[in-house]
Amino acid sequence: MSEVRFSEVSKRFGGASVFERIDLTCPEHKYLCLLGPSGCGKTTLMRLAAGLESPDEGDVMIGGRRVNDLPPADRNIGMAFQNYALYPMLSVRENLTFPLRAPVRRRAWPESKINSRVDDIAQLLRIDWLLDRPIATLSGGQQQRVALGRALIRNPPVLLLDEPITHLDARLRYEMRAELKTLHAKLHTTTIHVTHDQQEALAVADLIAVMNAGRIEQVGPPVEVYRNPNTAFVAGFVGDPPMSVVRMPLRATEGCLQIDFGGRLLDLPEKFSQAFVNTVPPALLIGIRPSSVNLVPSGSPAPIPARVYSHEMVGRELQLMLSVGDSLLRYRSPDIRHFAVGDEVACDVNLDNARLFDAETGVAIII
Amino acid sequence: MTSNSQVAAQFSLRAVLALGAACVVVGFSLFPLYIMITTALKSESDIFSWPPTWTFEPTLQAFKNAFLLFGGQNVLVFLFNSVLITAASTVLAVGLGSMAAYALARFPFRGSKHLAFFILSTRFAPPVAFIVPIYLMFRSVGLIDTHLALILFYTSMNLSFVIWVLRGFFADIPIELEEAALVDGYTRWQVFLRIALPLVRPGLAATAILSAVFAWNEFLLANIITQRDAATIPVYLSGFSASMGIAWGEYMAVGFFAVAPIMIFTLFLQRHLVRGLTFGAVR
Repeated sequence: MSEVRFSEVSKRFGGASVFERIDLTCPEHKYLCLLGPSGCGKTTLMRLAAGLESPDEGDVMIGGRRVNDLPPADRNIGMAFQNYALYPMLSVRENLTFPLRAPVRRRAWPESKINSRVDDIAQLLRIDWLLDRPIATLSGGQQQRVALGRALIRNPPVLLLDEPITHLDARLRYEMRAELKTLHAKLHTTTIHVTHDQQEALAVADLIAVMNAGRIEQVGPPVEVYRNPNTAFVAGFVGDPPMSVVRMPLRATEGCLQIDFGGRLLDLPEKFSQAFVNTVPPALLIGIRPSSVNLVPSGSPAPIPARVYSHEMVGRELQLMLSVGDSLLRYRSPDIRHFAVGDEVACDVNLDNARLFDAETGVAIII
Repeated sequence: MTSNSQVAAQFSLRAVLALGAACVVVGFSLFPLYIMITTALKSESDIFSWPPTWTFEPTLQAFKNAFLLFGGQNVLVFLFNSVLITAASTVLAVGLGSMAAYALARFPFRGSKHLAFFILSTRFAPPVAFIVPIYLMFRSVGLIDTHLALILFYTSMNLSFVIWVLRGFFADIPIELEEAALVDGYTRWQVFLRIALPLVRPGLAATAILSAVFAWNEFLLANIITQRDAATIPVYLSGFSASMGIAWGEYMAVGFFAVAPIMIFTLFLQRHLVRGLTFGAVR
C-alpha cells in the first residue's frame, strides 16, 4: 500500500498562496510526473509528500494513512534532490549507507545486510567502481546516480524525485530518462517526479499532472495530455514544439462560423459548429499544431500573410515562429530552407486538428 | 620576444623576492619569542650584559626557580588553572553557541533577527564598565576566587561572538543536505550532530581558537576576582614586577609557559580552518 494522495491541500508562504485545495492521487506502483513551469508549486506539492513542508489545509495520505503530522524520517520515503544534496564529507559508499545507518534502523539493517545491499544498488546503478571515491571527485551524472542510489537503497515504497536529471547535459539526460523508466519497470516503486521539461515527462511518466500557477490543469497518461490538452495552458506547454495557442475573433456569417485570421476569414470545420449552437462567443483560443501550418507560394489563392519572427534549425527539421497579425504561429518542416528574420511569407492553416478553448477560462471546448 | 630562460629568470627572481619578504615577516614575528626563550635560558649576568650577548652558556636556573622556588608557589598551579578555565569556557562557549547559532540559522521566528543582534550587542560594552557589578554579583553568590566564576564569565563573553559567527556558517550549509538527512531517517538533533556540525568545522575551529585566546589572555577580571586558588597565568605574571624589581629570567621562563600552550592549541586547530568544505555538495 503506497498510494500517495493529496486531498484538498492548500499551502501558503507568509501571505502568498502557493496553491489552494489541490486534489491529486498517484496510484500504487505508478510513475507520476508533476510537470509545470518554475514557480507553479510542483516542488512544494512534492515536499508536502516528503514532510519537508506541512499543508495549511487538507490531508496528505500515503498508503491510505494520514501523514500530515509525521516527520520525514517516519514516512518511509526515498527522495532525490535537484542538486543531489550528497554529503560532501562522506565517500560514495558512506553516502549510500547513510540512510541504512540511521539509529532508527539499527535493528532492521545489521552490518552484514548493509554491505550486500550497497553492492546490489551500486551494481544496479553502475556505480560500483566509484564506491570509495569522495563525492567532490564525481561528475554530475555520477553524482546523480549516487543520489538516486541513496534514495533507493532502503527500498522505499514511495520515491520522490525533484528535477532529478535537470542538471545533466543533454546526452546524459536522454540516457537517464531511459534508465529511470527501466528502473521503475524493475522496482515498481510508486514514484513522483517533478520536472519542468515536458519531453522528460512524456518520456518517463505513467501519469502526468500538469501544473500552472498553483492549479492542476490536467492529469492523465502522456498520450492523452499530449493529444487532448484540457486547457490552453497545457496545449501551449506540452509538445515539441507545442501547439501555438492564438486568440482569434469568431464571426457568424450566413450560418457559417468563421475565424478572423490576420484579416483572412477561415471557415471553422463543420465538426466544431455544434459546440456553438446556442451562443457564439466573440473570440476563441485556438490551439494549432505546428504541423497544421503550411507555407504556400505567395501566388496561391487567399494565403495568410505572415512574417518570419525567428528561425531555428534543430537537426531533423526547420522550426519557424511566424507572426500573423498580433499572434505567433509555430511552423515545422523537414524541408530545410534558409530564412531570415523579417522575411515575408504566405501560409495556410489547417483547422481540422485544431483544439478550441474558451477565451475567458482557457478550458477546452469538447465536441 | 621572451625566451624561456628569461621567463625562468623572471620567475626565480619573483620567487626569491617572495621568499625574502616571507623571511622578513617571519623573523619580525618570531624575534620576540626568540628573545623570550633565550633570556629564560641565560644566566643573570648574561641577561644584563651590554652589548647583548648572542652566544651564551644556557642554564635552566630560571626555569627551576620558576617551577620550584619563585614566589613560593609553583607555576604549575597557575598553568593548571589557566588550562582548566580556558578549556571549560571554550568547550561551553562553542558547544552552547553552536546550538544557539543553529537554531537562529534554521528556525526563523518573529524577531529572530533582533534576537541575534541583541546577542551581539552584549559585547558592545567594554568589560571594565561592568567589572564592579560583576564583582559584587560573584561575591554575593560566593564565587570569588573560584574557577567557576571565570569559566562563567569567559563563556558568556565568548558566547555572543561564537553564536554570531557560527550562525553565518550554518546559514551557508545548503538546506537540502539537512533535508536529505531528515528524509533518510534522522532526527533534527542527529542531523545537527552528523551533518551540520562536521560541515561548519572551520567555523568551530575559528571560534574555538578565538574563544580560547580570549580566556587564556584575559587579565582584568581574573586579577580582580581571583587571589590564589583560581588565579591564572596572566595574574601570576603581573606579580613579577613587585618588591625587588623584575627577575627577568624567571619572568621569561613563566612567559614561555604562558605562550606555548595557546600557540600549540592554535597551530593544532589551524589546519581545520580551510574553507570550501561544502564544495561539491550541491550544484
